[in-house]
Amino acid sequence: MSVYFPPYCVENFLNINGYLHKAHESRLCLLDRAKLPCLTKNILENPSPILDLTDYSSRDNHNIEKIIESEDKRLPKKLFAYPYLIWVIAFIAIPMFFIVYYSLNTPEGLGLDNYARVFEPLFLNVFWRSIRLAVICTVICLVLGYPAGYILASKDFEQKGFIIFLFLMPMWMNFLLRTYAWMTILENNGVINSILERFGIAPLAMINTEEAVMLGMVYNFIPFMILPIYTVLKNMDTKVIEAAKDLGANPVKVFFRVIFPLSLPGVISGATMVFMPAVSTFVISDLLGGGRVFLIGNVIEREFMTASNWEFASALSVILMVTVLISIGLFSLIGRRAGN
Amino acid sequence: MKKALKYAYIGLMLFFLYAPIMVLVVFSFNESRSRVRWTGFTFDWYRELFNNPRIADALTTTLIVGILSTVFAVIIGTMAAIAIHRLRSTRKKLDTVQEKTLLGFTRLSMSSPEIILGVSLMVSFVFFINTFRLREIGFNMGFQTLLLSHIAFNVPYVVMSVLPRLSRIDERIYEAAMDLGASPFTAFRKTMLPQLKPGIISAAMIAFTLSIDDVVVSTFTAGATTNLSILIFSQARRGVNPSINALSTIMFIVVMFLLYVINAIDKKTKKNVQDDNNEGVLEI
Repeated sequence: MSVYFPPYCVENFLNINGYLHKAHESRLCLLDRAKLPCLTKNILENPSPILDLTDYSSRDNHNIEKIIESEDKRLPKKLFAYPYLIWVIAFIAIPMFFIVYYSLNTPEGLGLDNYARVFEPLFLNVFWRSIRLAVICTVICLVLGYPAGYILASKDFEQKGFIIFLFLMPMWMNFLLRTYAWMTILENNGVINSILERFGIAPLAMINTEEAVMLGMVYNFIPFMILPIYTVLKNMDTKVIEAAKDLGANPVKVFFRVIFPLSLPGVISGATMVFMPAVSTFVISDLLGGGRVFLIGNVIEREFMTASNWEFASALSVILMVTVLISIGLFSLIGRRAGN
Repeated sequence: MKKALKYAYIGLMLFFLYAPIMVLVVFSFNESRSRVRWTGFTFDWYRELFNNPRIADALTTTLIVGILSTVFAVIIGTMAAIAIHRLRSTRKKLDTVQEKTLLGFTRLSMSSPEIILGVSLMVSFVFFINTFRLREIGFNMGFQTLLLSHIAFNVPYVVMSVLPRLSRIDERIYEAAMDLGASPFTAFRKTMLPQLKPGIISAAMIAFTLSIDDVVVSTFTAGATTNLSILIFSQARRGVNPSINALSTIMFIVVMFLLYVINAIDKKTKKNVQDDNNEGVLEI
């Protein structure tokens, strides 16, 4: 049985499974180096599948370039590359440029005034709250999700396929509806409070709090943490674990010295996939925070849609984008460190 | 004992994941508006749903945008993946630069938060509409911009799920077809396309669900047009409403059905294709 990953997992899975890299490596293996004395480093770095099984030993350097050139013409290359280049410029580059441009746009020409406003205590607070909630949400997801991934990957767990299917299914459901579902439960006269009432306990104010927003985030994003961890643990070489046990390590030591470090790529990919949507959300904080828990996403949305202060909202967007890019960079740096 | 603990933990997690959805479903059949007391079984909320023209309109918009954006994204994305793949296999510096640029922007788009994609598209649409007076030719914020932005955020996912397939394709078959006299297009259709098919199918699936699911980008780029997500969002902001529960239940059932169909198709293709190691798919 196979299970489809929802959208933004794909790229991450490509990375953690190393498919892209493997594809290159396997092609390198196919090239029989002994047969290719004149192959330059450059070709090795950009191996072409066409080169694979050709015997180049009898040809000289010059000819190879010609061969590559002529063989390349077989598939329309430029023909397909240019439309996409135009597409990328029109729908990715230009919009991004506009955001940066508007963020620098002030009544007195180009300047950094909009950015200066971001550092007012009010907005620093919002910014700090977004980061704090996203970090806590990522940590909770990790703490709750790691055991789940671990159990799912363990050998004696039966009915694995079906259960993983169950974990994936909510991810295919509209994320708005999943958030909305919690409104019914947390409301002042919602499910939890009505149960409490029956036991004579005073109702709790749960909705419109930071905790409610955090709960919504964890609920929505925890599958993104479980699945990469599961994938990594499942593909882990069990011989390493057995070797550690044979060498006398106790289970705790085996876990912290062997299993956890080896599963770090999954953890990092999961953390990225949880942190990124959590830090930029405005839907969850809007529905479960009831306009009382303001995150950076809410400010951007309000400034763009109702306040029409595009310049300031653009500056906020740029800052959010930079935050996300930095966090992705940090995560991958940690991953690489751990890998070494 | 240890095993029981494992099952208990997974059980709790699944309860956490499904309990809210179940509450949602149950109360869509509740007679009173209350979410607390069960007063009796009814289909009223479903009836109200089907009699509501706004919901029918929103659903139509969602489906049309979903289908059209999937078709366009698959075409553009597959072509782009082929282009990037071809650019990889040369030594020319310019080609490498081009490949890196294309791939870089594709990745950038995928790793941007949705809200950034939404606002950046909105800002540029508005700019172009105002500067070139596109209103006079009938181009305004609305269905067109909604569709364009859905295609825009779908294309990178298509590229990324077709690209890994391409590197595993045996291009010699394509060349053989050309040698035997096929035109490039026929050769592509007869040799490459069948090999790319699993990648393209999963790309289309991803694109379609992304489009149906999207709230954030639509909020910014839809103008006066309303799709299902925008409608639900605006209603949910005002509080809980049993009609939305009914709508959620229907959507939940549709998604379950779709997933079942996809798995069935997948099993079938598995039998035919031995090496089906698709990147959109996790092998269990």
